Amino acid sequence: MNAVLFGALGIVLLWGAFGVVAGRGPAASAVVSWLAMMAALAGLEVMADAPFVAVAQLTLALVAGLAWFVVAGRTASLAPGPPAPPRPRTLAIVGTVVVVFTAASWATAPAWSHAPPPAELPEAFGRTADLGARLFGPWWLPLEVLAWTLLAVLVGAAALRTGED
Amino acid sequence: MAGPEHLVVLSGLLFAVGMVGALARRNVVRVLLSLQVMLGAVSLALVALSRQHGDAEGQVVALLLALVGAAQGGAGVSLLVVWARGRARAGPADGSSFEC
Repeated sequence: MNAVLFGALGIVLLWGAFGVVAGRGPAASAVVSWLAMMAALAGLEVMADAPFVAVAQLTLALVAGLAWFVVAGRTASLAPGPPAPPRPRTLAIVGTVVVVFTAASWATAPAWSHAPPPAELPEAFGRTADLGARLFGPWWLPLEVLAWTLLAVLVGAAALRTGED
Repeated sequence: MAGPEHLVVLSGLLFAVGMVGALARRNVVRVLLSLQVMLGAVSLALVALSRQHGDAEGQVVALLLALVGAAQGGAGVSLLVVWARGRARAGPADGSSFEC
């Protein structure tokens, strides 16, 4: 059951990522693919005993998805630019690298993953209280820096909007 | 049985796919979403390694990374809206190397 769920979520994850990267439709279709990918990512994180991270990431993705839909709608009304020249050589090289990397890492995974999963995880592993204690304990400074960065982004976005009006 | 090592491999593949999109596409929305795909891949690797080592520090870093992604998305969205307005005024032949 675990393997079946992992396979299904992995397929949705990669399908969503390929939809973002290789899709030919309008930008809004890329946003839909990205949201599907983030949902599968949250499911995989739940499987890895990280439910709080999964919920937080999915909530942020849904909020960001709304903003991306607005951008996709605004840019879709613009006249298209000149068609992009095809770059088959670049895509072929990168695709070959992806395939070789995946095959090699999958074949050698048992060898390089020396640390076995712990037999018994702590009771509070991945729970909200444990993560909160860590965030507001040893990780307080990075959290604070990130909070100020987010504030700067919000103020910058508002300033850009005001400057345009 | 799917273990953390399979999640790490999956995250590596996801990162590679996102990198292809960030390097090969010209559509700005798709490039920024490809960066988000790469961030998601790193987050998945952190969670998987956190599970493998039985230490929740990786989950804390994954949470902070999600906030970094939100900041990047917010900045990207606001810049794109302003850029789209400017491009709508200038017309399609504004010399930009990107497309909408």
